[in-house]
Amino acid sequence: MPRDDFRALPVRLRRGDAFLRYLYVKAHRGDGQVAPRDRSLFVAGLPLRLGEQAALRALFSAFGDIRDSAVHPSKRTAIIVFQTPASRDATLAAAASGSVVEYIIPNTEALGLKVWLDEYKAERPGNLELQKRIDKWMIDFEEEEKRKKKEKEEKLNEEGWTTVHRKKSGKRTRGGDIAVQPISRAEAQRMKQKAKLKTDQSFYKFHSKEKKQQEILHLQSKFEDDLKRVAEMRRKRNFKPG
Amino acid sequence: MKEAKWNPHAGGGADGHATSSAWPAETEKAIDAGPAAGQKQRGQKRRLSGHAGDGKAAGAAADAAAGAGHVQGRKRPRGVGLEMDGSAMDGEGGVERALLQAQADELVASCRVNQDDMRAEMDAVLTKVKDAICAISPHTVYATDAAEYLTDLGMGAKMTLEFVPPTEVFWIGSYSLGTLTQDNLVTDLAVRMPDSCFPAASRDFLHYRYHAKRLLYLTCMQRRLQEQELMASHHYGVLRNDPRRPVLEFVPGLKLSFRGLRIRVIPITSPQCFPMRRLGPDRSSVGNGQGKGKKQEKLASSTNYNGSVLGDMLAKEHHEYLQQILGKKDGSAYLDAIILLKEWARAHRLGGPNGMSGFVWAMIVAHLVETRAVVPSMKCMSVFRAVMEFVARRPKIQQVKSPPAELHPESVAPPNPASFGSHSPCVLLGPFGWLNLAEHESQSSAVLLKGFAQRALGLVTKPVSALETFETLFMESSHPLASVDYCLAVYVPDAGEPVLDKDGPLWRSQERKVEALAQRALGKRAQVVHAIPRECKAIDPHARMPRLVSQPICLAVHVEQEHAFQLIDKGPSPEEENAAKAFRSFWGPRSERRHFPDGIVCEVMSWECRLSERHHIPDRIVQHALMRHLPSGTKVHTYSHLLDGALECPGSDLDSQIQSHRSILSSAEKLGSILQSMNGLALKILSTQPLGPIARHMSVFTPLANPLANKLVNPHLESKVPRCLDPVDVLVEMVSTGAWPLNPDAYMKTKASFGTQVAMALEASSGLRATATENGVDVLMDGFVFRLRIYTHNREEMFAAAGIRSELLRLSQHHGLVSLVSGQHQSFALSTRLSKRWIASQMMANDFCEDVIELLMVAAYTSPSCLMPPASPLAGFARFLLLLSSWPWPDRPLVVDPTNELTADDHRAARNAFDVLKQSAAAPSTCMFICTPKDRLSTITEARPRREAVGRAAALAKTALADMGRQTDAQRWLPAASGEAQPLEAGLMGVLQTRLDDYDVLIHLRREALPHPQQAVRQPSLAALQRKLKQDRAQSLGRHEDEGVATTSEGPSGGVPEERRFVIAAFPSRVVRSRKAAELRKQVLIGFDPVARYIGELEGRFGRLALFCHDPHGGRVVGVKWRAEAFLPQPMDPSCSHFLIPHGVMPAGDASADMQFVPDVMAVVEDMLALGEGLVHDVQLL
Repeated sequence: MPRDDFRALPVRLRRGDAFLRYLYVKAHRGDGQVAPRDRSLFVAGLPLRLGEQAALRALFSAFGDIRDSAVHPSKRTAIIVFQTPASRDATLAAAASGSVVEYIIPNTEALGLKVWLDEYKAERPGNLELQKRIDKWMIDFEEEEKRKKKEKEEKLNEEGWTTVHRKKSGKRTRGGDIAVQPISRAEAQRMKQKAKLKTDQSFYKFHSKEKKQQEILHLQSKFEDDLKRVAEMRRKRNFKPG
Repeated sequence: MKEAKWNPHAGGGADGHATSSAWPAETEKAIDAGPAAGQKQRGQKRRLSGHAGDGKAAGAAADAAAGAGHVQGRKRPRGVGLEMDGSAMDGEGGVERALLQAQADELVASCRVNQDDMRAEMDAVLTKVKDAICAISPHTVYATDAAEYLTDLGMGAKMTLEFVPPTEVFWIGSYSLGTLTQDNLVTDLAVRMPDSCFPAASRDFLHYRYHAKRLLYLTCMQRRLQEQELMASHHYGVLRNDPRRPVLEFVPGLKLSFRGLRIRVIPITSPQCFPMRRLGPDRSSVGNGQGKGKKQEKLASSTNYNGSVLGDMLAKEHHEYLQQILGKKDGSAYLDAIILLKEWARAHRLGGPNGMSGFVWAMIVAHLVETRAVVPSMKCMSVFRAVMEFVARRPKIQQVKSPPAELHPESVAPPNPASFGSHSPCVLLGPFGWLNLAEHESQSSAVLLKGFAQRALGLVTKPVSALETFETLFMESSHPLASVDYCLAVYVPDAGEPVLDKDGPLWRSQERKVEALAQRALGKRAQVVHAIPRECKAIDPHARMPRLVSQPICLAVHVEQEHAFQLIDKGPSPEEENAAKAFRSFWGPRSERRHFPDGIVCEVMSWECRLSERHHIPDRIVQHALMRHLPSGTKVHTYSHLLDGALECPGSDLDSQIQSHRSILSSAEKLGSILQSMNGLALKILSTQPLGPIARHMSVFTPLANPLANKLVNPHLESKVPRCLDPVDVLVEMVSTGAWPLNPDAYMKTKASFGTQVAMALEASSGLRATATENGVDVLMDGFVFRLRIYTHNREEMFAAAGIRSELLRLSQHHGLVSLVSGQHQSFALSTRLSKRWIASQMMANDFCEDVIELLMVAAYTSPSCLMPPASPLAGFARFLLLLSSWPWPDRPLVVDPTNELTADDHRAARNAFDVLKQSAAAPSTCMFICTPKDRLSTITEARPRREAVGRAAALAKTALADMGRQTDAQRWLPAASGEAQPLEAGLMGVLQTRLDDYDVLIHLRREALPHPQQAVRQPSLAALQRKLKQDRAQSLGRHEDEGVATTSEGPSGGVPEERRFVIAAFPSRVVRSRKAAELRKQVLIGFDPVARYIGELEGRFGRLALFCHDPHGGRVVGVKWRAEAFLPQPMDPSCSHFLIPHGVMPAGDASADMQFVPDVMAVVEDMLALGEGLVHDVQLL
């Protein structure tokens, strides 16, 4: 949607105040379900205290009943869904005519230091309480994980796969009596490195060929880099210290 | 083998350097060993240097050099040049060296004056001057012309000169050699006075008679030149800071195409003029008074005086010698190298009266040519390197040519070189063995030079990055304060002694005396004590000689940090009677005899002082010694204490902070052992480690013990108690098991859960108060707060490898790096604190976090430089400012690598990463890139400092440095002559003044709502602003109300309603008295910073509109600087719409496509006030 669709809606937030704030409104092209296309309004440029649902709804209820509203977490933009399309159009018309909406903000809600202090306190609910919260979170998390896993399995099962679970500890034998044991990670790393060492030697011709190619590529990149630096040095040839 | 010592080829293998001089070495060997061997060696070389790309790169570098229009690239056939570079490419850093050479070529090309262009004009000048002077008819010149000056030379009014026109007039010096540079366009014109002016019978070489006649000769010429109108302007300068050897310096009256060119007329004589053997180093040529006492005492030798006569006698011969050796066709690299050397000396202030002149450099190069240490096929950087090697290793006595050349067939043999050594601190004998070219050098300046040369050699030998090496070598505009550790100003009263003492000007011997005294007093505490020479810039032959004695002497001290801060100086044992006596008489009554516990008895000079004053000790020692041994009335000004006040605040001086730091560390250890021995935890605690600036003693203010954080013995307290506590981070490492979750969120929660367990266990077992949060556990102990941060090495590393930032891992790595450097440099912690204080006071702390400042300090202390690492807090601070102001932040990454882990490839990678960052589509918000071994992509500066802040910091650092220089610098170091200490202190502290005048809006904060208001720097400017604010408000209360602007706020607490006036700073004494301590303790705030929260919210809301700056240490204002670009009318942007207002006439809501918007300042101010409710006192628009 083009930006120029915005219309300025002047708002007076204090009684007898010559000083106006502007909200910018435009028709919102909603998804059609929660926010029907014909009655949703996009509002931008919310002043500080208007960033709360209650205040916002109170202001826009001047144009008609509000079915739903949502404020962006940045508290600068919001979407308002009116009950009727007429209310939305009334809002846009008001903005177009430049008539001032007067809404006196109740100065009750705390901001600043009080909020920060409350947050500080909320971070320290007490050791026991915190433990409880974390435990709850963990339980929820585990359940969520379980659910996800289950969903995945079900999906696989639907596609005709069967999930086979491996027993955690238990030697499995293959063929005769040779035990297959998982090896430690470090061991695996070591083995991998050993294998790498063997093949890294320039045993085959292609090894040395590749190595040479690598080297040339490296030198090429170095060369390009140096060219760049020479160019840079030339560009600012300011030898006299400023 | 003496020659071989200077010959890089002979000792090449041992030195282990494979520099570009490797090629000439090969040639030479090839010549020696015959063509076949040479062929073979070269063959090998070529096979080894199979790096095609390197060769190409070198070609590019050579192209760069040739492109600059430099002679060198052109004179040599191109193929040879390439091949040479190819051989230089061998080994690590070959490309860098080639680039270095290319840059050096360009530097030379830009410095050098094209002398071919000026030759014709200069010849015309020469002819005119020569004709004018030679046309003077022989006559008698009387002393009345320069009576007063001659009196200072000890001459009576009867003195006369039989003037005879000069035998020769010719160019000497840099013009004749072809090493004239743009910044010093002075050509020297030698005028040879005929021997007949100095009849043998009058023995003019004695008692300044020669110098007197020389001056009269000069005045005679000056009159003539003035009559002929050959001079546009003129004055008398001196040679080598020696008032006995004046020269006539003039701007030629002819119109020349070279602007600013000056000509110096230097009178010289011939070697036959005076008997040379009478002017040997042991001979005395100056009597004390006329005739009396001559017989009784053997006169002290007047080496310096003799040198001043010999210098004139040998001038032409020296000139010819240099011409013969350096003036050859293939010697252009030598001349280039001399220009490089001059530039190098200029960049590091090694020139000057005590330093090296172009003449001495030329002589050194000539010496290297003679000993075949340099050959014509070398490039100028190789010659430069060879000279550095020579200077870095030169012995006390060195001859330019050995054996010395003969002057003329019947000349006497020169004196034994060793005989010079006993009279002069440094000896560099000229090619004829008569003149000590380094006579003007003092011991300390030789040591300084040597040190600089050694460091330069290190830089050239293994350049990691050509650009940086080049800049450190030739461009470093080092600030005097940054290059010395301690500087002192010594004011010696002028006793009215004659200007010339027996052997040279009095000021020179005074400087040497002061230097020697300070050196003796400091002993091994000092590396170098250098008295900066006072410069005699001009003289007036019609007035007295300039009396530099009355000017202050400036001592620059480089200390040896291992010894410099020791509390006592141990002297000899009393059994060595003479030594003990000497010790006592040197130190005076303050010295004492002391019995040590190990049974040793010795004389001791004690410098006991408070812990916080240990860095003043070198200053005090010098002050004590000088005051004791110099005439009474001597004043010594010191500067080391001047910024200490910045780190103190009411109730917290430096000593209590040091004590407090110690108790923090011991409490942390105690806490660690409690934690490790704790039972009943699901996992064991492996180790604990205090982290962070407070633990490193690098936070600006170390928190002091708070009674509320201690065990509450006394439930009632009396006076005010601070409410905010700064926590000390403690890393608590838990056992790494596979049981830790793999999901990062779950991992964090599990850690928090362990935290609560630890907290509860601590409270139960040891009665400490511990409060867990999601991020850590705050433990109150011994008056401090420790924040335990749980850490498991494996998991954190795993997450880091997977690209998930691990704050704790970064913290511990950073702690390791900084602690390493701070362990190596004693002054590191203090200077870091100063730097942080400065950044904070300039309101840039929210851009430069403490860790970034610490990294910059590490760079300032450890990055390769031509300067010694700083060893005093002030020097470290000055280095920080220098780095901040001089580093090209937008162009280059800064590599901080104190352990030299990074290779040239890593540097390259850092540069590439920075380029990628710069060119990335999203305009990077920062331009500071700091690459460390553990953080190669500079994640630490990813978001901050912002581009604007870096620029501002650089500019402010520059002014601060200049201010500091002005405060401590006059005649480079000192306040004008008056020497008042008071304004000085104010001035240095003035560096920490907050500049409020460049902000557009000031948000004043309530004092009680700040966590640490007492830490504020005393700000006269702020107080004035607040007074003004009050006045304004009183005048225009009504108007504000009419407008309904939010700034209407009355009463002492601004517009903050009563119920929201929280007191954050401290519990008022009334509350403290009435409540129980346990109650108060619940109200304590740990690590709570409302201002940071406020700034965060402001930035979130108005970050695109303005910059917000604040001093976290008690600053009571938030400075707001509008971004200029945000105020241009712009189309609608929903993300900024909350501060936009339609531009122009009220559009009646009819928003059309071309409607423009501008920020609504009033709305912004209103929101600013509302956002900081309870914290903000007032908003002031400037």
